[in-house]
Amino acid sequence: MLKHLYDTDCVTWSPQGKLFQVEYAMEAVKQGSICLGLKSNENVVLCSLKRQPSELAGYQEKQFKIDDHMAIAIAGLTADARVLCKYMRTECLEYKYTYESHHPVGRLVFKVAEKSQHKTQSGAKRPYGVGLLVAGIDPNGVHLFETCPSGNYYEYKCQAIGSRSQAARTYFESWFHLFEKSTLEQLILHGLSAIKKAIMEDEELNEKNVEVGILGKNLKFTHLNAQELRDYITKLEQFSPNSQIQQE
Amino acid sequence: MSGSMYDLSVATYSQEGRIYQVEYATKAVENSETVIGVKCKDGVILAGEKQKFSRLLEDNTNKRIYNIDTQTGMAICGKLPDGRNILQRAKAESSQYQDMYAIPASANVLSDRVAQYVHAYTMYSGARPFGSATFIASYNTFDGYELFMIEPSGNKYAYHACTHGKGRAVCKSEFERRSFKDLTCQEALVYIAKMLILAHEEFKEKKYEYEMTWITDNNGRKHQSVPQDLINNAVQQAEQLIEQDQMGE
Repeated sequence: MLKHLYDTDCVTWSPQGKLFQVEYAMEAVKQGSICLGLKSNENVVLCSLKRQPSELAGYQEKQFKIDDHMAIAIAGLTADARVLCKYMRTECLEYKYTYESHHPVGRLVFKVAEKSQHKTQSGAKRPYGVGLLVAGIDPNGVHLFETCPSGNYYEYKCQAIGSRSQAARTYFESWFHLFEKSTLEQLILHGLSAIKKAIMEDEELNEKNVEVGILGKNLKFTHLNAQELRDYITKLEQFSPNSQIQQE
Repeated sequence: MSGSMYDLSVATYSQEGRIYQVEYATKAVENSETVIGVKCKDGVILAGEKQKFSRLLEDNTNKRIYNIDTQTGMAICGKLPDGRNILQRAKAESSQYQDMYAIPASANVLSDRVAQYVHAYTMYSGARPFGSATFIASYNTFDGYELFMIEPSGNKYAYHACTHGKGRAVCKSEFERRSFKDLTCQEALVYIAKMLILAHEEFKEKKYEYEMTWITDNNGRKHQSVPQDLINNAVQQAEQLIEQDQMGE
């Protein structure tokens, strides 16, 4: 098929009813380093693998606090992510000012999806090249959403996006039935185990290249600090999901 | 099928007078999950199938049927982001109409405005047609129960029963066979579940969820989700019906 005729802008449908530019934008997400999220009845945990552009550079942050009750992890074009992050933070602040309460998570994700969709329907614009995992807690419960460049969004029990994320998703499919009743510590260890499945053979997890963010019903969003990360990575050696089943 | 060089822009007619870009947008709807709208004796039902493409997805979320106001609902078939854009416009139109005239917009007026909006995106080369068909169901005291479908071309018609998506052929033949006008909404649920299950006959092994909403005399004539236990019962009975049909063959 003469793909090149139909894939140069967002305003051309292919004969099969596809928008190639939007599909190409989704590829940008797959190029980003892995980030994943998982939730229990009380907590949500975000884990990401950070990349270092060069030996002398720092590691690129992948998780951003939106409000006390909400945070995102990004995969894809960081610059595009910054735009969405700023938008979400502004919306949360305005909501708080008007209604004196936290922005419901699902509604903010809907707004982000709407914004993303507008960028897929104009000849002069391009879709956002970033996928977000939005973790949040509101009176409706504990949430984990994924947003896509296409403007689609989905609510998940746990999800991994980015490079080599299939390995992490496979881990999740085996063990996600345990997450609902997991403690925060177990959740973090599951998250790190899943990330471990997705790293290259010669790579190792350490406190510099891993980022873990936690959120709970009575716990505002925080990052684990370097010492806590080191401790968890050490605990990882002893951790196995089987041991959790035996406890129950 | 290729329109040679006449299919690259929505602002180009082909030599036979077709606009290929609109037809390609309709293709996107035809390849997506089936949505049904049916008027029964005592109300209207909107229903859609949702494939759970990942076991990690949360149950009964990721909706495709929304409220426009308390008595009007919209179901989206095709690309959900495009459909949600149309939904936001429909909500704004409905809200504006009510501000001006102090009564809810009738489905006829509302779908007319939505259809004009959808059509506008088929006229300019700097934009593209929406890749979704939307169904509007509503009740108001002047016009009773109404059901409309708006296609990516901007065409809109009022229906007794309508469907779009992969399983539309299966559903249309079921519509011809059964007179939904004589069934109550509660009775019709089984047949709707049956249509949705038959619609994905080829993908039987995958897990599906069914989203159904209704506006009926029995639920205060408001657009609400059908209670989950009724949906589950309808699906169970529908599966039995399908088995009986197959054994009979």
